Amino acid sequence: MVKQPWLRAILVLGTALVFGALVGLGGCNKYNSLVEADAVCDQKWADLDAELQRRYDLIPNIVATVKASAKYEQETLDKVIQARTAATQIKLTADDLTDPAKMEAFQKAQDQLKGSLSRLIVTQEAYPDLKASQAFHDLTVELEGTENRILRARQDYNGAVKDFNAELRKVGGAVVNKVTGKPFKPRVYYSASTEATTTVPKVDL
Amino acid sequence: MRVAAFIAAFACALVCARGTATAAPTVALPPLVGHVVDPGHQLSTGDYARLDGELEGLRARTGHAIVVLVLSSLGGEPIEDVAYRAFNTWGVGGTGKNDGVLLVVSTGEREVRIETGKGVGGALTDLQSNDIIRLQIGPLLAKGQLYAGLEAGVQAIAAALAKDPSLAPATRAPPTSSSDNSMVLLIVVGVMIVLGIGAAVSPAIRGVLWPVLRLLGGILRILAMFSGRGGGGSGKSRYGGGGGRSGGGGSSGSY
Repeated sequence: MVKQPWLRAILVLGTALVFGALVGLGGCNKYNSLVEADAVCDQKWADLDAELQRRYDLIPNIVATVKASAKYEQETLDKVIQARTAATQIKLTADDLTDPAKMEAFQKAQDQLKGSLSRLIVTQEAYPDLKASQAFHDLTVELEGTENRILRARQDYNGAVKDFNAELRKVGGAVVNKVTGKPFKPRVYYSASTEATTTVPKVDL
Repeated sequence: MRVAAFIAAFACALVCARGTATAAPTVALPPLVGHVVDPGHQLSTGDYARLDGELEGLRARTGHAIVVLVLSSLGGEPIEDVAYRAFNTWGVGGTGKNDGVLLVVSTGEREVRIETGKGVGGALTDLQSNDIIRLQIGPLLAKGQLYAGLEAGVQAIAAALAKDPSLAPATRAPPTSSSDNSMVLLIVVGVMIVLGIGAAVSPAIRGVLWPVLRLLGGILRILAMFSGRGGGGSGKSRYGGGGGRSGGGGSSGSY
């Protein structure tokens, strides 16, 4: 059909170009969708982090209110303060979100904080003067709201991580990640312990 | 053999996708067919119409979407979960603004929850929500006055939202332009130029190019069919379900 050798060369070259472009196009798209899924994770993590920060900010007020009451258990209070200090000391960088060990340490610290807080609220509710105090009531409402927001933010983050990890494990994502020098690593889920989730402080009206 | 395995896998994937889509939830959520969702018909027809009309008017006047859900049982699910699920399933409030509020009452458990959209946080704090439940809704519901309790709650929520200037009805934000695909565009244009020159130089290339292009067109069309993208739009703007999201804000209480 085609006689001139130079024409054949152009044909082969053209076909190769088309296929190369197709593969490149697909690769770029895949890379972009990985970047996008990764960015969604970052954003959801920032949301979750903001809610965790909100809980840190509430604690000094709760501690002050409890201390102002006639009776309180120093030991329970100390545990909250210690847990807050321990949790705030763990600073996670973006890289740490793919490190199972660091995430586990972070989650453990957060769980301990949550557990100690709910114990504090439960024990303090036994004291009538504190239970009747408006300030204490308001703080428990805010804490309850914050815990619920943390829960939702955690679910959202885990949803984003699931999408990202799935994208990364799919054939296309895995190949693109390998070719581009593995810039993406699977992220670790933020899974609170079941023990901590069952003891959400409830406000008794 | 391989083809059969592929088909089996594909069929399995389809079935699995269906399975996960319908699994889990314990309380059946009715569709959002009004500003008041009352599957158990616990409100009288007159009260239902009055409350619904009021919320409709409120949304038309101020742009705030408030939806009321009245259930007779939560089926063992925490009210926080039911409210969150209902809020995000229905998309209470406007997309982007997330200014909707959902009031949930379950008469069986005697529980109330106000679930606020992500954008409502400052206007209706968790504390204010709790005060509304405790001081306005709770006492009336405790007396068995369902309509009066809902009415009082809705009024208090609307009053709180009206105080925040940032939630004032405003013109819609212009849609953001689509993300840059300049890189892809560059490659496509480059390939087109090369092929164009080739086609201009030789009729043989032209002869090959046409079928290839047609084949590509066909592949793209099939791909477009399978990628469920496009066409989305905001089709559910009625009854205050405009795609709003909740981040778990609000408060719960019992009466």
